[in-house]
Amino acid sequence: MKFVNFLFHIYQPPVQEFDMLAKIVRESYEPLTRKIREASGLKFTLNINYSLVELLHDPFPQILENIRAAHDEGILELTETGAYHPIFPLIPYEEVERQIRLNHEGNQRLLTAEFNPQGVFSPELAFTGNLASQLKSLGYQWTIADDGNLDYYGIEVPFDTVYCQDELGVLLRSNHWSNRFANNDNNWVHGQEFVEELLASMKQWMGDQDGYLIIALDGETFGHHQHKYSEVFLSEMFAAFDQHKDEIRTAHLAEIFHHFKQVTQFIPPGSWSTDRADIDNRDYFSWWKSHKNPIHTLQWQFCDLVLDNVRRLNDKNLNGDMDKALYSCQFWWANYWKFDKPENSQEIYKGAFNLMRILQKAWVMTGNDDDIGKGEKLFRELVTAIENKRHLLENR
Amino acid sequence: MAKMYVAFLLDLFQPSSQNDKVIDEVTRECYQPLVELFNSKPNAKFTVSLANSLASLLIEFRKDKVIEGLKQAVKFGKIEMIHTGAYHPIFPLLPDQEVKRQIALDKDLKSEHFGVTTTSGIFSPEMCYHDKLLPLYQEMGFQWTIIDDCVMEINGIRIPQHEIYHVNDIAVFMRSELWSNRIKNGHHLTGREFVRQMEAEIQLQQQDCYTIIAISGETFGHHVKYYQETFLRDMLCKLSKSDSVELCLVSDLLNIKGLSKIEKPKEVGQIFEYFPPCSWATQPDNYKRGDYYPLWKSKDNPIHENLWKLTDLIWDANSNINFNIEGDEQHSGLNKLRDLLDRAFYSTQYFWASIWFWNPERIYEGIDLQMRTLYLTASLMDNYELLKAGQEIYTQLMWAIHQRTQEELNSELDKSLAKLNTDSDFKKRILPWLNSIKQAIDYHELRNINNT
Repeated sequence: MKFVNFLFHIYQPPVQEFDMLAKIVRESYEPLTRKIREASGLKFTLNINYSLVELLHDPFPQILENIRAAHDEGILELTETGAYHPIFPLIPYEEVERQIRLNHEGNQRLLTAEFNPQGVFSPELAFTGNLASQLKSLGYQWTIADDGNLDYYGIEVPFDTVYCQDELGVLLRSNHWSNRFANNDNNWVHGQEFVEELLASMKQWMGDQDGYLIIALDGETFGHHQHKYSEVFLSEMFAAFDQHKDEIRTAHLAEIFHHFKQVTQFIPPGSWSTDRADIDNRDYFSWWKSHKNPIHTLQWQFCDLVLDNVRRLNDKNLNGDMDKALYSCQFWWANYWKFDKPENSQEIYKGAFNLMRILQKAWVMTGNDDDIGKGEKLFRELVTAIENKRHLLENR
Repeated sequence: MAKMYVAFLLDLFQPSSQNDKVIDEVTRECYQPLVELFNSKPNAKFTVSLANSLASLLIEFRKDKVIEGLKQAVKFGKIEMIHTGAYHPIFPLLPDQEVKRQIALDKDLKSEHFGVTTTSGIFSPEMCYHDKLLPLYQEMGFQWTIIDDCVMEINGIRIPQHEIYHVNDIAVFMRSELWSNRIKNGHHLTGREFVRQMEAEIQLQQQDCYTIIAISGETFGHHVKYYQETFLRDMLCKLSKSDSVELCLVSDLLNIKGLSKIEKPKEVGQIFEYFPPCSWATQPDNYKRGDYYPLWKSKDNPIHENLWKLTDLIWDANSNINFNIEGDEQHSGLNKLRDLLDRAFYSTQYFWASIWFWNPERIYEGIDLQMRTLYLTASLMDNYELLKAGQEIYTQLMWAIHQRTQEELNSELDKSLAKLNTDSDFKKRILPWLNSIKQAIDYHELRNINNT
């Protein structure tokens, strides 16, 4: 039997504007969750950050209801994650634990009381060995990483075993198949074409043996990023899985983890965006913190300073603001490839000014001019670096 | 025999963000020697404007001798301490009610710490003038103010020598730009030479005359080292033997019989009613292009333009806030905001962004203080749009300062390279080094382009 897991990762940052959220709900979340809810007999995995649950709770309760119902019926497996989508390896350990706790409690409160995941989806599949031991100590059994970095280290991509590091299962996402969806790097017009190609490919790779393959990607790919993957495509894909159920089955990650033999293996650091050049440069998280990117350097120096100020103060409201302020998108928009248009600076500024607002609040409470002075200095260096790049792009 | 009355108005000021090291230095070089001079010379008579911001720093940094010395000088009539804006803002560019508040804060401090309860003169920081200020001063009970004479003649206004202009009972003195600048810039001018020149001037006159010198107090000892000795002390010694030149307070001029009062007529066909808008740094060219306060708000200066956009945005947002709410938590937030509003708009931050002066760190200090004010305003009013508007201005400011920094750096390097062409030995040693700096700057720019 061939097992395939689809992991849909859906997330919006806490600063997302309502109009954009409504558009994504209409184009993607509503049809996707509805089709999943209707797909009895199939199994999927969903990672939804508490950040999005919070945003959907009041204006779009139907989305959460679809997820809840699909989870209750055993269609959907839910994963644990960081509430506000921080890059786990880039924030302090205690912040990782805090984000996981907030996600757990928040999703139990607003999504489903039955929210008790066995596995953790690290935002952007950012993985390091330290994270594995930390997640294990928090009681989780497995996590997910990308298989794109294995080849560099001469590690074979498994299909009939599950790799473990520090006694934590590290399930590996197929970079190839996931990105064919995400980048629209294929010629599938109908859902069944994908299923048939996938099945043929798995048979070729695995022969007659049991094996598995994990496709993990942004849920927004379906209908929002890629309009061709509409609900019609999803219906066709789900029907094709049902049609070929004697040869290929959709499965939860927990099922794969328990079904296949576990083998200890070193898993290299990286994310689902790490490429060969990043590994060569030892710049594993270059989309969010590249040591070659002066804007990233300043963003993180500023973020670390604000975090330190806020946690020292230990004010409940301010701590809550800080939790939200760690979201990854602000760093993502500053990366080499995304900051390629002057207007993209606005997304970087959203995060930066949000952090500055928090620092200002902390200063009002403490009155410590030294602390805010250091922050203001870093902040103006950051804004100057962003403006410098923005003007270069404008004059290009 | 006609007499020349000379009055000195010394403006003592440091911004509230000034650090202790600078305060130590200026105290040692200027404030302390000045105060000793005031109290030790029998014929010392000076009009002093002391900004709250500086007085508070002197108190905070325990400059007790200066504080006590000033008190003593006030008590014995060696100085008259006049009023000004507490934190040295540019009055004509401030909302009217804030001008009044700045003066009221100044009055409170002068009364509490120096025992000054009279309201004789009012000194607008940087001598920035606009007709709209006169009714405010009058309403607050002042007898006189002072403006610079630099752009009077190009507006057809005669600079008086024997008379004192009055507008509705408030006297408007004129500062002698000529003599103030000669003293300010004349590093080698001695006190006795100054008195000799004053004596020569009065010999040509049939009537009593007066000259008012108004300059930064820090000129004496800090800007010009030991100038309090070579100019002020020397002048006081010479004056003690002079029959035709007499030192007096500015307020004394109102009571000198030889100096008459004239009502200033309203002007017709001008942009002003009584006197043109100006400062003690406004030159005729500045005035003609509409730059009435050129060191603090100059046209075509992108830093000034954005800095004032930020300032105006904050004032607009605060125009309807009631700061008198009692009791609750909001009250402490409002108090903090009120304090920031008082302190955030001091003149120096604009000054260091002018075409003639450049110090980005001093500008940043002002911007940071303004942004703290903006964040607190937005937070108390729950006004996200205000925050967004301020943030946009902030990014433009950072870019404008960055550009100016690059220009200044390039200009300095070009000057150095040009200078080298006339000094061949030095050239051999230093040229490779300077070229490598230029290459590094070019490389930095190129790398930024490549990064895009």
